[in-house]
Amino acid sequence: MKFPKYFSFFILCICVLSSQNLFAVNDKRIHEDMLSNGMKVLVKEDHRVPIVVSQVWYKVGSSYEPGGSTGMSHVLEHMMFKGTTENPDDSFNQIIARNGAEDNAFTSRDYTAYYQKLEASRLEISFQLEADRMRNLVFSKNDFDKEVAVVQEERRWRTDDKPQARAYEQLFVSAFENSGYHHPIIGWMDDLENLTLEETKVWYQKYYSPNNATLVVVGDVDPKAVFKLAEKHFGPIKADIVGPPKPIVERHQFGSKKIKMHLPAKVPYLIFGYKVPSLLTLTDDSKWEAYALELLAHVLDGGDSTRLPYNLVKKQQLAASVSSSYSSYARLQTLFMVDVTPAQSKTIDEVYQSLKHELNRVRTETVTVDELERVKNQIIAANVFEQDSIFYQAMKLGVAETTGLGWQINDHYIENIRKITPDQVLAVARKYLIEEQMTEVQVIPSEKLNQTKNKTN
Amino acid sequence: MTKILLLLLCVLLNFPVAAANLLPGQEVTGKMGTLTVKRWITPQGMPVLFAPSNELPMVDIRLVFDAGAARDQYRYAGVAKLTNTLMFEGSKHLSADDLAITFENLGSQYGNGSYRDMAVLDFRTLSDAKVLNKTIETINYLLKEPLFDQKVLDREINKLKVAIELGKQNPSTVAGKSFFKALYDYSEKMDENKHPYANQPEGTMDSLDLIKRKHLLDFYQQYYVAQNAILAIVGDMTIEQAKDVANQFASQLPQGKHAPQLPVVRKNMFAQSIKLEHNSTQSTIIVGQAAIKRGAPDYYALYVGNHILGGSGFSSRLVKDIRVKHGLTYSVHSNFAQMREKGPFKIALTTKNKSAQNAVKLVRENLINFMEQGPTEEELKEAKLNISGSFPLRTASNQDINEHLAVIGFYDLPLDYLQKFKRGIEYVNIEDIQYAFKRNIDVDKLITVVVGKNTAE
Repeated sequence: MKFPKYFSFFILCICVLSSQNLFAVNDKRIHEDMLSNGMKVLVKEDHRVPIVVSQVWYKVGSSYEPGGSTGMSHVLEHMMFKGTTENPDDSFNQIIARNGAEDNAFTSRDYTAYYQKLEASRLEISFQLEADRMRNLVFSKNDFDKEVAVVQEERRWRTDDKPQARAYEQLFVSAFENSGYHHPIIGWMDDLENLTLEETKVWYQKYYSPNNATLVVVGDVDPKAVFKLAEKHFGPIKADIVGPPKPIVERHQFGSKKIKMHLPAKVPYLIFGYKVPSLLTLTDDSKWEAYALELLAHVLDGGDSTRLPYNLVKKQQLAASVSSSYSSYARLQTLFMVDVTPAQSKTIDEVYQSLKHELNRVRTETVTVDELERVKNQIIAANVFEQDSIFYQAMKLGVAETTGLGWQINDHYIENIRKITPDQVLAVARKYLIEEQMTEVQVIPSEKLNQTKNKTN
Repeated sequence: MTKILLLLLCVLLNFPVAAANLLPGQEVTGKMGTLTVKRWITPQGMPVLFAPSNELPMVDIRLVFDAGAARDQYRYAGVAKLTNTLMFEGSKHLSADDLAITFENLGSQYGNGSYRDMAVLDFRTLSDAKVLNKTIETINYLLKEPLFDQKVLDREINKLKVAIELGKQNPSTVAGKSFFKALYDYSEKMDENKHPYANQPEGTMDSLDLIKRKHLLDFYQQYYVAQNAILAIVGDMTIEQAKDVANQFASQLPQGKHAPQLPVVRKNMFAQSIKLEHNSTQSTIIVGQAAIKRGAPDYYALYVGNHILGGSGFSSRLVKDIRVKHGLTYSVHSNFAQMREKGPFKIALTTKNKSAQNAVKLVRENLINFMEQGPTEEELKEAKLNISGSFPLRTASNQDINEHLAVIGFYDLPLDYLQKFKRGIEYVNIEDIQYAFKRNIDVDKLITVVVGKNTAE
């Protein structure tokens, strides 16, 4: 579907598997340049197919937003398709369509990105349009009102009518109190209602400048030609002063938080998270903790033979599904998450006992060498498989660069994963999977879904 | 009158699709994107499509059976899906635990899917000789004499029941099921008045209670057979290796015979409006009817027409009107499903409950208007530019190409099917689109499903 959207959970999931080239420590296919206005350009060659993906990444997302204006970055993303002075109204979409390009955009907590995927010789079209809309959006009042209404429908569809999506939203709201991760990416319905065109425009002017953006191009291209083309279209845009977001540090949590949501639902659900650091929040000599946490997430849920699916779903048959996830590429302190849907006729309490037992095991016993090796092998192979998608390759460069880690970190990913020992996995489980840093949300089916049938012919 | 029309349609649709008609030993060669494709039939009668590609050290394997939910008996709906799932749950030659551990040690991935027409087993592996050989060996073990253990079956039935309950939480799932029932279940009372497409792939609470191990064994014996399978492979392998692998796979399976032809889908006899009350903030709306089967001669015209009506995101009429102009939805789209027998044409969207009636009205107006007046010259020109310009994107990855190969094999299409499609699109004119829509869509007999709150008002 060709609609602007945000991929919050999607991003979280892929970051667990984030990694770069299998064998090479420095991926020679990646070329870096900096335009005179401070815009970074990354090009990765992949000549398998005559196509290219071009992505523009901005360092702004929902975690940058002030209270009362939640969802603003995402509404702005929608407005980016609404015309500039040079390409008014629908012409952006028309030009894209006429050139057979696939295009879309996504907003997350840490970034907003726009992309086109198209036949390689047409790359310039993408640059022209992206350079134009970096600074020249029109912001008509009518478009803005309509687009806010569209986003409100998006919120209803994405979150309000999906009990598990509401629990996920509530988990971040409850776990983080002053951090920017408190806000839902799509924003509160009330905030959307009261969002003004003026503040959205100010937001755009503040963050959409070349020195706050990264251009990532992957595909059948010549890096030198791409740099030249980038200079031609993005080069003339003047740099602006963009300060970093305020350094908000989440206040300390003094005990577990437990929320029960009574929702119109049929199936109970449990999701919980422990506060954990990301690569960015760790000091250099403790960065290994992030890799150990990634491996821990895989030890718990990295395939049918791993602990949670194997014990809870297959053997004890207490859960219909269970998963764990962690994203080391987050900009701020984040969550190590576990979620579970009980099997039919099983209660949350029953499955919770067993879940606690498994979490207790990783806190008290080291994982076996074989088990850890198996998990590493999967991560290493997945790292090869993901090179089948040029979009995904670009995505990884963009995320690493935009959160502030720098794309080179991808090159050392496998090496860093390989180094982790069973003792280190035990150490992070002991240190971070603790009750006091935990927040949990349960969905308790209560209100009726009311499926009475009125049929008329 | 209807009978005559039906007859006429059958003649029109019984269009030979240039089947492969290969004999064992024969081989044909074609192109797919940048890759060369070989097609042959194993001595056991299993068609194979193989595209060698050594750019990445990996191999994608897709094994497809004509064993989707359309092959279920209505009373035992769910057998097809359960058989598919239990293929990964152990055979006489390999336990489920060993299977998972072996794959995960190798970093190889497996997955499955069971739809109305197709049942799919997917594998992805590194092409390193040791890893590849071990993966192939493991696949051989799992294909031969699966156990269909009763305890595992009970567990998977329980999981399907949870999936059914989860579906009830979601107005879009409720609407989709109700729409399929209206199209393919001609009578609430008599089994023989249902088309097999009326079977819910995940079964029903009632059907799941009846399913025993014996049903899966019978289903496997009849449908998971060499003559009813298609193998598609893309990746870093030689043709000799691919032939060897294909022979190995085919010889693990019973030889059997191809599944019989499915019954013809009846045309919808009258307009129907179905309203289901649901405790949600949005209403899901689906409007449509059974339309064409794969290979229908009108397909090119319908494809271009649908592209303009609701198949191309921001370029389509439905999005421009219902999303952009009225701000009533985040996503609205239309499509013609291409299945063995007539699949649905449908227009679908979600909107806040208050706007539901208005949205239904707009959907109908757009469809009727499009059918009466056809697209404009400008729209047609733009649509063709988009379709031809985006062509290279269809075969951008090994995974994309393998999916196309599986479809070509499954529906017995010619190897140059994509090139033919591209040429076919070029010749479509406005009259073709109008005639094709009129021949295949009867606006007086549309099925309209609305699932939301206060739908009766």
